[in-house]
Order: sequence, then C-alpha cells, then structure tokens
Amino acid sequence: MRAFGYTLKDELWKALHNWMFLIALAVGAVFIIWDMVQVWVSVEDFNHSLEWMLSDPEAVASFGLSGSPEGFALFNEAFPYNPIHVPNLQYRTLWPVLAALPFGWSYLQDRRNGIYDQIACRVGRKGYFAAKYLAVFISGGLATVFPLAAGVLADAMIAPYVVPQITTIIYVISNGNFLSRLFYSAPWLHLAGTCGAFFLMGGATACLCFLLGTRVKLEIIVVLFPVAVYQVLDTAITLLLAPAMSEKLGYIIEISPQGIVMPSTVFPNPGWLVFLEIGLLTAVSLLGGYRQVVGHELA
Amino acid sequence: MDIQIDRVTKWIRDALILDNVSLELHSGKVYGLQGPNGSGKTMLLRLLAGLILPTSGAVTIDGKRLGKDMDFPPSLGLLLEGPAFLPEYTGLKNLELLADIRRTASREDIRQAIREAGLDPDDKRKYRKYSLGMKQRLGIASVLMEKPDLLLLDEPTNALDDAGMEQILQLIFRERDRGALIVLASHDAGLLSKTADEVYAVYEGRVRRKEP
Repeated sequence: MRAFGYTLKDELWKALHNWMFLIALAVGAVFIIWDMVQVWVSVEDFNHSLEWMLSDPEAVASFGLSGSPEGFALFNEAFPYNPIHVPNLQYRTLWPVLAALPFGWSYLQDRRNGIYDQIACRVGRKGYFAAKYLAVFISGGLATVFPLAAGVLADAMIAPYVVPQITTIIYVISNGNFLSRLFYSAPWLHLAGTCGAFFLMGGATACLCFLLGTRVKLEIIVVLFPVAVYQVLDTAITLLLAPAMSEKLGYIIEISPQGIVMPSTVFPNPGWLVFLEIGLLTAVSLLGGYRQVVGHELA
Repeated sequence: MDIQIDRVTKWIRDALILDNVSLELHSGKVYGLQGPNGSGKTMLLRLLAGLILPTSGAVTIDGKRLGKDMDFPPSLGLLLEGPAFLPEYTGLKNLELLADIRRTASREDIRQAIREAGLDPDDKRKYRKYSLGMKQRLGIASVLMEKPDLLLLDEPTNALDDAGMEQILQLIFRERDRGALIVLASHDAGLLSKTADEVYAVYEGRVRRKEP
C-alpha cells in the first residue's frame, strides 16, 4: 500500500510536470484570451449603442426600439455561458483533446520504452494501473476545467456582474438545465458546480485513452482517440437519435458527451443525466483500461 | 534465494516461446543464457521477472509460486531489452522516480550506483541526450541501486566499450559475492564464459546446460 502511495505521488508529479500538460494549459489560455477579446468587442458595441440611444431618442423611436440596448452581463457573455461566441463553439468540440493531452499518452509510452516493466515489478500491475489511472484522470480534469474557471474570472475584469434574472430572456439556462436553479440565485456556485462536473467528465474522457492499450504506435493517435469517439457519437446522436427522440417524446435532451456538461447547451441537460453519463464513461474507461493494463501480459 | 522453473511451457498465440523448460537457480551464482536472437532468452527473463506467466508448469521462488502466491519477485533488479527511462528527465531524476516506489535506496545509494556505473550523478543533461553507452550504464545503475537479491540482465554490455565492459563485469562479480542471484542473457559466448558459473544454451525455446 505504501508503494502504491509513492507510485501515485510520482505519477501525479509526472502528469503535472511535463510539456504536454503545459501545452494543454497554453491552449486553454488561448481560449481565455480569445473570449476576452470577444467580450471586449461586445462591451464596446453596448457602449456605442447606449451613446446613440441617449443622443438621438427620436431615431431610436423611429426604428421601433425600446430605448435601451440588449442586456449585457458577465453570466450571459462569459465563456462558457454564451453559446454563440466562437470560442465556446470551438471549445465544445475540442475539450476532449485538452483532456487527453496532458497524460493520456503515458501508458503507451511506458509500454513502448519498458518503463511499465520497471514500475510494475516494484508496485504490481494493479498498483501501476490504479496510480496511472488516477494521474491521467486528475491531469485531464484539471486541463479541461482551467479554461472554464479562469475564462469566467478573466471575463469578470471586463463584463459587469449581476445576478441573472429569471424574467429576462438573455440567458440560455432554463428549467431542465444542469443546476439551473443555482444559476439564478448563486451563479458563482453554479460555475463551481459546472467546473466540478467538467473535472469529472474531463478525467473520465482522458482515461478513455487506456482503451486503445498498445494497439497503435503513435501517441498522437491516443490523444485524438477520445475526440474522434465523441465526434462520431455526436454526429450519430444529431442525425439519428435526436430526431427519434423528438418524434417519440416530443422533446430533445442533450446526451452528446461533447455537450452534456457545457452550461450553454441548446437542449436541457438534467443533473441525473450528466452524472449518469460521467459514471458510464468512468466505468467504461476503468474496466477497459484494467483489461488492457492488468489483463494483458504483453499488451 | 532459490528459484525453481518446473517444466514451463509458454505459448503466445500460435508460437511456442518456451518448451518444457526446467531449471534450478541459487543465490550467489551467475547463470548465463546463451542463444541467437529470438531463441527465447528474453522471454525466459520475463518469465523469471513475473512479467509473463507460463501456459503450463510453474516458477517458484523460495517455495512461493510466481503469479499465484506473488505477482513479482520481492527484490528484483531488471534490465530488459535495453534501458527504460523517461526521455525528458535527467538520469538522476529517472532513478529517483523509480527508487521512490519502494524507498529501499537512499539518495546517496542512487548517486553511488550512478558513479559505479561510470556516470556523473550531477550531469544535467536529459536522458534523451545520452549516448547509447550512457543509456546502458544508467540501466546498470538502476539495477544496482536497490541492492536486489535477483538481477536479471539482458545483454548488459550492449553499446559499451572495452573499459565499460570490464567495469560492468566487476560489478557483476561484486553483486554475486554479495549473495545476489544473477541471470545474464547474451549472444556473446566470450562474455558468458568469463562471468557465468553455469551457462545454458537457449534455442527455439528449449534450454540445455552447456558443459564447461
């Protein structure tokens, strides 16, 4: 047990002290800066509109406008709450890459260069797998959450914060969305809850890399594996499952793993479904990974 | 330490890798495995290390069956198919990470093992910058640092010059005199005749004792 603890410590150290983890954070920072620019442009637009409306009320009336510009606040502008901002749309597709980038490739590297043998004979196959799984999970979760949490904080330097009002229509979150009640009473707690769920989702997603085992030669293929799987699932859900759901139930719920934890989903994403999907993904990566790592002597 | 390999056969898919192998190995001796590439030497070492399990037969270490009573030999130093390290860290950091798992080797033990293998523990170069000979020496240091009871060495003198080979031979003798059980696999008959107390020929998965 002591050897497992030391191995876990070492694996975590390796997971958080490598170039790929730093690159994942750097890509996350690009999303943050990109979104800050977009929010800044929105602020400028708002200011120009307000100046115009105040300076020429007759012209405003002639256009049939109410006399105030469209509402503007942190929790409807910030990444990841604004579904039409380009960084948000890109992030919805690319976050599985960020999850796998920090350490998802490490098992393949350990097997190829023989480090697996060295560690496994010291801590055992199960100990190796448990430590590696946790390290991949934690590093993947952190890399995924970083742009979300830091992005909202960065946008808070530009966009004014008000508690979202349920009577306005500027917010995408409505009844049936994950933690929707919290959003309209304590939005920072909503952000914390979303980040927690995204951490688990990112971790489980990173661990899908174990499913490939040593079947491929290149680490880049392992890193791209989760996003490829999610892209196929997303397409299948959009083309096949969503129309069937709409026809049978009369409504659609978000089930694509790419979008289910995003707070700006078009369709409702109830909490039970979010955690069910995270649980399923964790179970698949855990059982499949165990089979690959512990069950295959020559994997 | 006493190891018994009892009528071990290993199949991998349709290939017969080890064919009814029986051996007895004891502490304080060097055993040589000689054979051409692909003869089964490395697989026999992997079997002794617990990294593969026999299809039939058994490996017992001090009366305990490998793969049943224990997953791996309790005190093992391993150099298989070349050294295995992370390219982005220094030699010292790589050994510290490995030694950190069991914590039987102190920091000074690690530095001493690196020096004995002919390297500088304060060398700041990353492992990927090492020459082939330096990589091999670091592999030897990783085997020595924890003073294991069982040393499994696959082609330990690969990429070494004459002086390096002599240095490694002296280390092997020292470990044997300390009481370790050493199994050395090589295609080099000269090396084995100099170091091994008993030499076994390995060919197409079968093992036969070579007369001195």
